[in-house]
Amino acid sequence: MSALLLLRAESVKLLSRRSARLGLVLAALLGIVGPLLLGTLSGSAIVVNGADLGETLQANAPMAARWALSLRDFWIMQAFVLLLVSQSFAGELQARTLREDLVRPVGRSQVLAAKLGAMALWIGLTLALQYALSIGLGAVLFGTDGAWRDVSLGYVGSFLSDLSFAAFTLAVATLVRSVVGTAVGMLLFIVFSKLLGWALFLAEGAANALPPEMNQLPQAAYWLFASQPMLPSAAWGLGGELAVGADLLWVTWAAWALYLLGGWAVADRAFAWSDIP
Amino acid sequence: MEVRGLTHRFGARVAVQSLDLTVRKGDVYGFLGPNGAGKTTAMRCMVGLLRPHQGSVQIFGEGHPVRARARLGAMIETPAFHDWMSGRDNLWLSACYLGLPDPHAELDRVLDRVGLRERALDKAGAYSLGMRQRLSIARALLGQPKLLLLDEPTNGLDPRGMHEVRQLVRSLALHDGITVFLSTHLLAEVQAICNRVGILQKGRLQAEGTVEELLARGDQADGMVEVSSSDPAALAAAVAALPGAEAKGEGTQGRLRVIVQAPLDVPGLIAGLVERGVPLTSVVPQRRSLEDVFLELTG
Repeated sequence: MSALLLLRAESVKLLSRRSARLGLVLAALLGIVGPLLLGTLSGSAIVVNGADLGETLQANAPMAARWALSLRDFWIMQAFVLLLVSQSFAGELQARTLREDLVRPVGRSQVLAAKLGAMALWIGLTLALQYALSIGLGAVLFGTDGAWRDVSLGYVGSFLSDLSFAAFTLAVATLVRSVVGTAVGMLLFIVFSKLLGWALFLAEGAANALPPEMNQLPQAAYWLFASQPMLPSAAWGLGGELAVGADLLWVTWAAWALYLLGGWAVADRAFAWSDIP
Repeated sequence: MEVRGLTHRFGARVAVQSLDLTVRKGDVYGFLGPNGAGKTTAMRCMVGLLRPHQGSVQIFGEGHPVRARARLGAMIETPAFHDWMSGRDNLWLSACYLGLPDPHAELDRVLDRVGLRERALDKAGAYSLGMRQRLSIARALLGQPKLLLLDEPTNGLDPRGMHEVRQLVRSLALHDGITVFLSTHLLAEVQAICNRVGILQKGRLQAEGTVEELLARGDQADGMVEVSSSDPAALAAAVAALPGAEAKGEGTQGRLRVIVQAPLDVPGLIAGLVERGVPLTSVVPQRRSLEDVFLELTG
């Protein structure tokens, strides 16, 4: 069985979905809105903290692409990834179309890999579209100066973090086996991880503010504080960090790999052992 | 296909228990059973959608489910399609899953086989139930399988659609040399097109054999007639008094159904009734149907 043939089938199927096409249109729109927003604000007379915003903002093509990426990473495209992954697994399971694929001579791991591969293609397509449009429009409006390397790495980072997010969503979808359940499960997980991140951030700040004689927290608390870069919000925010030239901690990369590989492993095992209705 | 000791449970409920059956090359095997007997569960185990708790399934000598499906076409329960895609595109997806790199000629072949080529570019969601059944059979025929598993292929079809599907299945077996494993409720259909039959009840195989073997089962092997008389009471009394004759309730058109067992035969029954002064008005020999056997075995 050719893996490429399966990938082709899943990609064609995915791209034929209305939601996938809508996502592509939205990616293109973000690629246009980013530069336009940057242009509008950099040309405005808005004063922030006593400084003229127009002078503070650097308007150039890479910055335009960065703005577009920031808009994208504000959970807009992740929402589409969540929707598409849950449709392509849990939706097909509920609609019984997955069963029709599984009576063919293909292994379940191959089916999952093809679905994740198709998602990777779609994510790559949305990012490429957005990058090309925002860079192109930015170059026309503002010129080509700026930090090209950082923003390009930011797009690569967004691709990687969305892929990890997709693998994790796939794991949830194989466990709960329903589109609504996957969406609710992932939303709860994201909210929980955000709240945990904020709680750890505040607790660490409070602990550091204490005078040394009062600061006698157990060692476990410091381990918890140190785990912040491993949280999903950090691992799935690679793109934004790389786009601003931040040096990422190795634990963030480890967390990214953990959510990607762990998500895949759970999805693969859960699917292998599940009964197909 | 060899199924040995197949058992599957849903929680505490045993859906299929120690199922043994054999489908030989060239068979058109009718898999019968009432609703909830476990037919679909058994078929889902056969194609690897469910993991059996016990037992094994071998298809063309291959026990590994993925490799076993290489020469298998299956239609399990109500067909499902990606409704926003055309019928042809749905088949193309399946062809990719089968590993057919350039399947267009194969798509044309199976669409022609089920008479759907003219509507192939319509969206699957716009198909009637009959068309969906035919498209599903077309999908099962992709890649020229040697064994076809069809689960209630005439379900929901009108009489014309049922006739078409029946003709198609018969033709697949006779002309294409495909072995067919067919689950259905339609006993007349099985009697018409199947050479071997298995009857499942509460997850257990109650009987298996050729149609003739099943029809010849049990006490009714000797003969059954329906008899009427202008004096039904005298008829009933005479039948009860005749050794080898047993009344089996009301038959068609108010006649009394009588089982005749050796050494008594039908001429002997008639002679005995006439001797006892029963005014006979009709004696209609009955050929036992698969429905009779089915009802007898499934309670």
